[in-house]
Amino acid sequence: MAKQGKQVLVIDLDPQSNAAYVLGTNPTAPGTANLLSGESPKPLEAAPGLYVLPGGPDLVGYNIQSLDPEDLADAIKPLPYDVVIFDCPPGVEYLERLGIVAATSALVCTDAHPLAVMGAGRVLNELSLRKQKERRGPQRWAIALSRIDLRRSMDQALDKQLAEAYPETPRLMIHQDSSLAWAGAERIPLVNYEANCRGVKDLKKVAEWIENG
Amino acid sequence: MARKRPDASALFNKATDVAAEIHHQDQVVEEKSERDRSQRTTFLLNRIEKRTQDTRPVLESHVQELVNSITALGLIEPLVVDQKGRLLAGAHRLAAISLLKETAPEIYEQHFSGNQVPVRMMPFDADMDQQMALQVELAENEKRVNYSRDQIQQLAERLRALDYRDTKGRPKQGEKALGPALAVAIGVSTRYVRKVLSEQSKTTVETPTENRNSVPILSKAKSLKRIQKSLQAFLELPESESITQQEADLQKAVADLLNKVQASLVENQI
Repeated sequence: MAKQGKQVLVIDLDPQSNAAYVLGTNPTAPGTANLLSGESPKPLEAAPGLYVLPGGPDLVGYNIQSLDPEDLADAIKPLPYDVVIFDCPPGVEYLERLGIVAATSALVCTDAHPLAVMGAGRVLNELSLRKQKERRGPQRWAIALSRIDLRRSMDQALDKQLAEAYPETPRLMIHQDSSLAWAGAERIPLVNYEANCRGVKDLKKVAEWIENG
Repeated sequence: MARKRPDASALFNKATDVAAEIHHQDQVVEEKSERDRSQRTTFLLNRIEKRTQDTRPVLESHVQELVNSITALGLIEPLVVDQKGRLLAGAHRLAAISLLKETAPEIYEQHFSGNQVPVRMMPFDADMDQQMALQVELAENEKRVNYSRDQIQQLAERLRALDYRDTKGRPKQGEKALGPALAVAIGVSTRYVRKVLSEQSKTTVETPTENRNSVPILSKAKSLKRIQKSLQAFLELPESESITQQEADLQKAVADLLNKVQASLVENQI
């Protein structure tokens, strides 16, 4: 999205600051916890048009835990970006909820393992419930199946099972791709690492769904 | 021999079922968090919404007094907010905290670390229940927590440690007046604070380290001097020519008594 000329901000809600790390920025710089504490931390530039607010251990502090679920949504309102992406850690209920409430669209990520499917199921149920109750949060969502290698039987079964369990929810597939793995490990944004790899092609489809549905 | 693999779909189905169960637990946790939030005791300064309608204007002089008081003591009376963090009572205190943040960020950070301001959260939404909001504001304006004399004296001690002094009248340049600062902090009149503190200083006089007899000795001396004066006046009256035995006895008794009174005054070095 940044490559297409948009101003993109990644808000890392992970106490381990993984998004800031893989995008090559300083994961320990002031970030999301400061924003949620009423400060104005400066987002770090990972690439032209792509900025990050790092996560970090401050996100597990009492101050953040006791926030209203709408506080992140309110805090990002004045920020001058075209797209804001919230990277939520799995299973941290209150951080995940801050991201969910602030988002207009959601991508629920899973790979072909029952533990990941279980985590995704929780979030999908929460999204349905919120929409049903007409509460603030995403009106649309999709499942992103990640690290998929269709030569494996588990991976083959995953898509079929998700289609049965969540028939209304679109599914987007991101195939197993060594460039995608290496870009993260080497801390270089994927498009800069290898612009024509399979991972980029898959992620472009994800970006398209986000923008156009 | 390779282990026979179970059907992957069955494994995913099981995981989806468990997800539904855990989601149910999530909801229980969320309800509890919501309840906890409604009992919270601090709120982020910049998330506290000021009242749109004020029943009384904010007085700048009072805000400055509060800044001095908060600098010395911190915020003693929490602000009152609704569930959404809308201010119900404490516009002056909020203005003072904001001013403190601007003018003395280090002191602000000491008292309100992480921008957390002490609040009392009332369990309603002021937008939905404006009548209730007004009632809270008025009640807060009329009634304040009553501080015991001991608590007032303890607060005074803390202020004295910060170079606040008991001065009468307006404080001189550079001097910090204890009475008004304490009065502002706890929302009572300066007169009342002075009264409580003066009672404290009287109590101090009567502590065992002082001479417990000093007051009785002084009043005894006064009486003796009065008696001495009267007796002298009596003896200086012109004597009548024919004096009865009774009068002669009385004159002698008075003269004796005067001697004893004078001896007593000398003995007590008065």
